[in-house]
Amino acid sequence: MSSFKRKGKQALPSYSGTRVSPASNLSLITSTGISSLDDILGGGLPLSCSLVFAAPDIHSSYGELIEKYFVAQGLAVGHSICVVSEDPDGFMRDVMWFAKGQNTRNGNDSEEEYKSADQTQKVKIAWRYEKMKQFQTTTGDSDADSFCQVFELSSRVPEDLIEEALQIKRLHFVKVGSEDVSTAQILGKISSYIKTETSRPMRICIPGLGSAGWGDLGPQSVLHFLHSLRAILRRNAHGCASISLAPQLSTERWGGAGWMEKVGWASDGTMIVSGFSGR
Amino acid sequence: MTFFPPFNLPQGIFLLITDALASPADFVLHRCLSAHLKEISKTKSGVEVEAAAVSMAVAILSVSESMARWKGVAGKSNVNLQSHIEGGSVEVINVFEEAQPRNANGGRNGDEERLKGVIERLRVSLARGDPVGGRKGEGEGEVNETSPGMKLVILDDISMLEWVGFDTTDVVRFARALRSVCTKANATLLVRHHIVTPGEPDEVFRHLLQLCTYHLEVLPLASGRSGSVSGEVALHPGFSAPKDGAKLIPRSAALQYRLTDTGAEFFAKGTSESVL
Repeated sequence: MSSFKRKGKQALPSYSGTRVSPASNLSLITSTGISSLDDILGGGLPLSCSLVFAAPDIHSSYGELIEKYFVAQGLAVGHSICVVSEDPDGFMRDVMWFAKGQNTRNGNDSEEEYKSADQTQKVKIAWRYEKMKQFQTTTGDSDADSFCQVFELSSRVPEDLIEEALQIKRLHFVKVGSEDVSTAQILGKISSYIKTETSRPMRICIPGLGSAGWGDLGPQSVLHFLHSLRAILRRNAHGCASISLAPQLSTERWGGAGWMEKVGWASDGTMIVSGFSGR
Repeated sequence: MTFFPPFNLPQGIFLLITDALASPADFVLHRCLSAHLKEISKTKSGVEVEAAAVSMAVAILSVSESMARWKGVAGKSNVNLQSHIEGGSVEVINVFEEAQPRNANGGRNGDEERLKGVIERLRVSLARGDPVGGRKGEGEGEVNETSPGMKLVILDDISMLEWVGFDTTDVVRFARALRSVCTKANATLLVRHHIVTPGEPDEVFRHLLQLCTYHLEVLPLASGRSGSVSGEVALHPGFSAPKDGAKLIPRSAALQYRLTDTGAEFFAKGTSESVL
């Protein structure tokens, strides 16, 4: 028998709604709730990482939509969630959910399900596209349980589910704007919530960072906040964060030359989501 | 003795490393760290070291990089960073734990005093113990007669200090103090600075250029991202570079590099080595 021993894989904790990253067997990833976004990220958002979305279109709500998917996915797979917002309660009640009459649906619909859905609700589309398959990402889901849940935009999270999550401390709200809460205090609350709940991944969701309710935040404060949040996540490897900047913060005009690059350096990843209008 | 092949830079210098978001230069820091620790281990294995004489070989002033990443990347180079930390040859100083920027109201919280604390801590660490081959019994503050470069100091991100609220003047003074402490200890100093406005040098960068011995510039490809080439590296002299120093590499003849699991591979532009 050989005396050489293979290095044992570092034992990673096992959380629902996560899987080992295909890029590194030392980290876990979790779905953002949007399968094509998971595709871009190489499978999903790694735990202990922060992702910032800049949506400069003032007439769109791309950033908030991405955050809602992030929260819906977390609720569906049993993660803890912390929402930091001017109106976290209102935000939560607007989060999408599964279509009525369904609990969970497999992310990759089988052909039979697709055909039956097609028969009952025939959508009028151009004849040349009728035979095309449904959109599929390159990240195949080989697990029996769906990694990325499929939500219905017209459905909303049941209120009793929100109340239950609040009661069992699986859902936390950090309200900004109504009280004189500083960014340091917000970070302190996030840190305490993430340290308290270690048995499941914690998703920090911050829709509209820098909006009116956050007060008079300058570029230095925003960068300090992002940098400190990243440090908190690195100390607590079971957490991850998705932050969307308010539209006015998502342009170079606001933060000065090189602003978006600075945001990129202060977080683990930055994406700019903008429409095609005017381009 | 030189470090960081193929650039073969002399020890005991202040190397300013600049990068961009599209071409981060953390691989340079990781490579220098691993190579230095391997060199120290080789030297220590040839010389008997008393158990009590634990000397600090590397000081990492951590601003942005996580410890998990330092350890993970060092592990890829077969360097057990955790054991070096436990053994005392590597010290990690978290700059933000030692210092906090000004408060939200804009009032100064004594930025300069806070950053001074980091310098003092570094000075004590550099003076601690006996380096291999050095004299025993030296007190704090005395010149450490080590051979140049036996100690390495890495500041992984000086830009973030300014961006999160430290005054530009205090950041520049901090860099100057770092340079002074490292020169007294004959330590090699690596400082990374991010360029977010190419073509418009910021104030901190201008001051760092005046202080550094060499400036290693890590650039993204002008043509965009490539699967085979990660970026380009150029080497420029600083204000205090010696006349007969390292071989300089201008931007026009920059070396290209490709990142792999084990580190970076360098090759001349237009050649196929390491790519094909």
